Amino acid sequence: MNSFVEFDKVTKVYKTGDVEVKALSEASFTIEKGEVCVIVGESGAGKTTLLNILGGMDTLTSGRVMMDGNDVGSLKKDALVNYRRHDIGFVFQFYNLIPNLTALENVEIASQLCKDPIPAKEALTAVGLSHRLDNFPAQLSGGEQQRVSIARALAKRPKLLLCDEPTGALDYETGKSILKLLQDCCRNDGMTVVIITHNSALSAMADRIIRVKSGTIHSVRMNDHIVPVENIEW
Amino acid sequence: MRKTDIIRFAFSNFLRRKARSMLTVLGVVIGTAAVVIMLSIGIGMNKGFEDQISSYSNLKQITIYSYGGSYQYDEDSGTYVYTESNVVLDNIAIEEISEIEHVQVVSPYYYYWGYLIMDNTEKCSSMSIIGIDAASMADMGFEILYGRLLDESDIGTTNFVMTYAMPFYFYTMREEDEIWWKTITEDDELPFNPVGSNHTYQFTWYWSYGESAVDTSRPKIELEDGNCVGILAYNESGNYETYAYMDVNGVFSLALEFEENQAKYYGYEYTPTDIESTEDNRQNIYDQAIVLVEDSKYVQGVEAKLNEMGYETYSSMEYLTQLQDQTKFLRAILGAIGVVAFIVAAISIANTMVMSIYERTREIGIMKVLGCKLSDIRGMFLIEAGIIGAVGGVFGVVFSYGASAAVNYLASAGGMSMLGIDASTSALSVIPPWLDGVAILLAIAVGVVSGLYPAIRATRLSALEAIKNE
Repeated sequence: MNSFVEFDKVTKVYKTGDVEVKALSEASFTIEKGEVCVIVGESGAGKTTLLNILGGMDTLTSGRVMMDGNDVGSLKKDALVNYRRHDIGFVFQFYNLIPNLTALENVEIASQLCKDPIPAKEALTAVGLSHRLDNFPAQLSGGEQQRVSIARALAKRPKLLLCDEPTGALDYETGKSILKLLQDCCRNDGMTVVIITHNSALSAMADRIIRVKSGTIHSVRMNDHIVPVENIEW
Repeated sequence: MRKTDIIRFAFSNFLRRKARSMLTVLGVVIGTAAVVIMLSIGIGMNKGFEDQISSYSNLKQITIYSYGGSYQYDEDSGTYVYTESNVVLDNIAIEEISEIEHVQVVSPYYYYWGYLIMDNTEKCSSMSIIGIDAASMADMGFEILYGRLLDESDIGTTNFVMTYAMPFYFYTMREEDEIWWKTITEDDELPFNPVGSNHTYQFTWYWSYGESAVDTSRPKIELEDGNCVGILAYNESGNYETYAYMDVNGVFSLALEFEENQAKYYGYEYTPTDIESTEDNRQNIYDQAIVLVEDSKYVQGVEAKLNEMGYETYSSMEYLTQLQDQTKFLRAILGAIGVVAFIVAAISIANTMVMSIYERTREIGIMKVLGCKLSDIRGMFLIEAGIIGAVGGVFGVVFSYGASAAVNYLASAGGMSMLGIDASTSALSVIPPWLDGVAILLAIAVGVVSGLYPAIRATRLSALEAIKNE
C-alpha cells in the first residue's frame, strides 16, 4: 500500500551561475496519514528545502514526491497553486501574517480560498484567540501571532500541515503551548503534521522522527515512547 | 478570493500610503487637467468661430446664386473666358433641390424694388421687395417682433413682413428728403408699430410719387395695396436692411402690374416678362435660392451635391470649416502638450506601483503560499492603479473646470482676443460634457495600463524568496 507522503530519491540542486549546491541528495522516506512527524537536523542540512518541495513551493531536480496519490513534482504552475490552496497548510517561524489585516481578516483570506473551510471565527476560537479577533498582528504577542498563523493554516482543512520551526521565535513556555496545539490538532482531527526543527528534544513528541544531515536522510525511525509536550524539556 | 475582497484590498493599499498615493494622484490630476484644458481651448476656439459666424448668419443655410455665367481662366489663350451657365434657377430647379437628401426647405429669392406709401400719401420710403416662398418663411429662421411671419395663406398675395429698420426710414412725403442711411441700435425705440389696422400701405414704381403735381396728361400711375402682417425682430447687421418680404408670386404679380403701367405712362411697347418655366424652355427666374439643411453637419454634403449640379453656392459653414482647418495645427500642438503631461502622470503611477511591490513583497509571497490565484494578485495591483487613475481623473476634471473658468475670466477681463475671437463675448475655453467622461475614462485607462507592468512583476515574484527575508 502506498504511504500518505512518499519521497523517492529526491535530489535538489541549486544553481547560482556556475556554482551548484546540492541541497538534497537522493532523499527517500515515507510518512503515514495522521502522524506527527518531526524532521530534525542542523541548519543548512536541507530540512527547509525538503519542506518547500513537499509544500509545492519549490521544484525538485530529480526523484519523485507523492502526497495522497498526487505526483507533486510533476505538477504545473497552476496545479501547484491549487495544491497549495487545497492540500497544504503552512506555519512559519516568523508567522508571516499580513500586517494591515486584523487577526480575523488574516484567517478569512485563507478560508475564502477553499470550498469548505472552517469559518474564520471558529478557527480562531479553536486556537484560543476568540477575544483577539479584531486586533492587528502588531497588537498581538509572538505566541498569539503564531496561533493566528496556525488558525489560518487549519481554516483551509488541509490534508497536510507543514510547520517550519514553529517555535523558533518564541520563548520556552509559549513554544510549548504552540507545540501542544499542533499535537492536539493531530490527535483530535487526524491531521498529518510535519514539524521541522533543529531542536532534537522536540523529537520526543513525534510519532516519526526523520534526521537530516547534509542533504541526506540520516535516519527514519518510529518513536516508541511518545512524551506529551508538557513533559518535554529543553 | 472574493472579488469584493480584491477591491477592498486594493483600496486599503491605496489608503495605506496616503502621502505617496496623493502625490501620484496629483500627477494624474495635473495630467488630466492639462489634457482637458488644452482640448477645451481648442474646442472653445472652434465654438468661438461658430458663435461669431452664426451670430450674423445661419449655419444650416446655403445660398445658391443664379449668375448668368462665370469668367474662367483659359490656359491656351491666357485670357478669362466667359462661359454661360447651363443651370437656371426656376421652379423645376427648386423642386429638384428640395429632393436632395437632408434638405429641409428651399425658398426662391427674387429681388424687386419699389416705393411703399403709408397712410394715403402721408409717409413713404423706398425699399427692396424680396419675394420668398411664404410657406417656408417660418422654417427659415426669421424672428418676428410684432404680428406674424408669412405663411401658406399669404401665397400669391401682397401681404408683407417688414424688417426692423423699415419704420426708421419713412419720411413725410411733401416736406422731407428721402432717408438714405440711419444707424439703428437695439435700444432705439421703433417710431411706430407698423402692424395692424392703424396703417394702410400702397406700393408704387414711381420714384417721386407725391413730391410734385401729377402730370395729368399722362396715364394714371397705379398704386397696389399691400398689407403689413408683421415686423421682424432687431438684427445687428440690419441697419440698412429696408426690406419687405413678400410671397414670390405676390411680387411677380406686383412687378407685372407695374411694368405694364410704367410702359403705358412713358408710352412704349410692353412685352410682359415670362415668369413661367417649362420642361422644354427653362429660364432663369429667381435671383437666388436659400437652402435650409436639416443639420449643419449635412451642409457640406448638400453643398457638394449642388456644386455638382452646376450651381454657385455660398455657406457660412464652408467659411467656418476653412477657419477651423487653419487652426488645426494649433489645436494639435495644444493637444500634444496635454498628452505629454498625461505620459508623465502614467510614469509616476508605474513608479508608485513598482515601489509598492517592493514594499509588499512579503505580503504577495504570503498570498502565493496560501494559494491565491495569480490573476487575483494581478487584479489587486491593476485595481489599485485604476483607483489612482480614477481619483486623479475625477479631481482633474473638477480642477479643470476651475482652471477653465479662470482662463475665461482672465481672457475677458484683459480684453484678450485670440485669433479674431472676441474673448468678451465667447469663452476661450469650453468643456463639453463628453470631455468629462472621456477624460475620466482616459485617466483610468492610463492607470490600468501603467499598472500592468508592476502587476505582472508582482505575479512573477518567487513566493520562496518573498517570505524568506526577515
